[in-house]
Amino acid sequence: MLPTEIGMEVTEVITNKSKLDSYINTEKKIDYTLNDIKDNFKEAYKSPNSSMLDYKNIQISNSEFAKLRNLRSYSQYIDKYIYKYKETGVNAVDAAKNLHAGLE
Amino acid sequence: MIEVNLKQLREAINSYNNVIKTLEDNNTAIINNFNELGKHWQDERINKLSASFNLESQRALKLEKNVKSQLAVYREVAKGYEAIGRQVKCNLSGQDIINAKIDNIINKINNIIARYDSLGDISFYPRAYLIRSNKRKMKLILKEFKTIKSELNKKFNDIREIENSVQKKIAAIKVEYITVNNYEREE
Repeated sequence: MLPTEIGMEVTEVITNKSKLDSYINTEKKIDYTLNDIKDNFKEAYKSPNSSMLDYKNIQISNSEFAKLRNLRSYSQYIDKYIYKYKETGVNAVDAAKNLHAGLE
Repeated sequence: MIEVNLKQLREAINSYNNVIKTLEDNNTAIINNFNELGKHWQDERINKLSASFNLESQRALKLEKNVKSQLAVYREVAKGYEAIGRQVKCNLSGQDIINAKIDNIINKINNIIARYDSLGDISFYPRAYLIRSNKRKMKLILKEFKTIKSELNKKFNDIREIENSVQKKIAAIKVEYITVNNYEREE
């Protein structure tokens, strides 16, 4: 494979990785917003049912947190992959940059 | 004590709808992103990551389901209380005390009416019309208190029904856990 071809691949992986990071951040924001809504709901509806709902809320929040950890670990894994390419000596990232510079 | 603020409830539901929309879009984007990634990265590592990510996408959809089941509870609360009022404050355990107090008033009015009845023929009395008018007023007040009692009990029963229905809905929420896969440690 030509360095430029590897470069294109790595560029795409880097682009997709940065998109994944942006989705992870959105997910984090959703998590915070959901918690705010849950607090507002607790204010709007006070009843013996509230503590039961609160218990379920905590369970759902825990599973949300686990999902974020999964996504972060995928993101880190992709980072490792990109790093390995950088170490190959082909310097694929530079090749990708040059290719992009040439196209611009 | 039950306290409901319908305006705040509606705001929470609207915000929740928006968050779910963002969550759905984000989950779709994450899944598409991984599929896209697979097109440009082809080796045994991406195969392993993809297999793991297939599970992840299923979990993302489970999360959506969990969150939506919670929104269903919010909607159930709002739908039920919309028919009651904008601000609701109610102590369900106070129903018997209120009923006893209203019954006490009704009994007193019945006693007064019985005393009017016990007067017998009052047609000879020049101001009999006043007595008849007061008796009619008492009967109207009696009717009003009976209506108040019936309406109050209906409200109590409606609130009890809403609370039971919400309780069932909450109990039915089955949180599907999203376990931590942590891809790094599998390496």
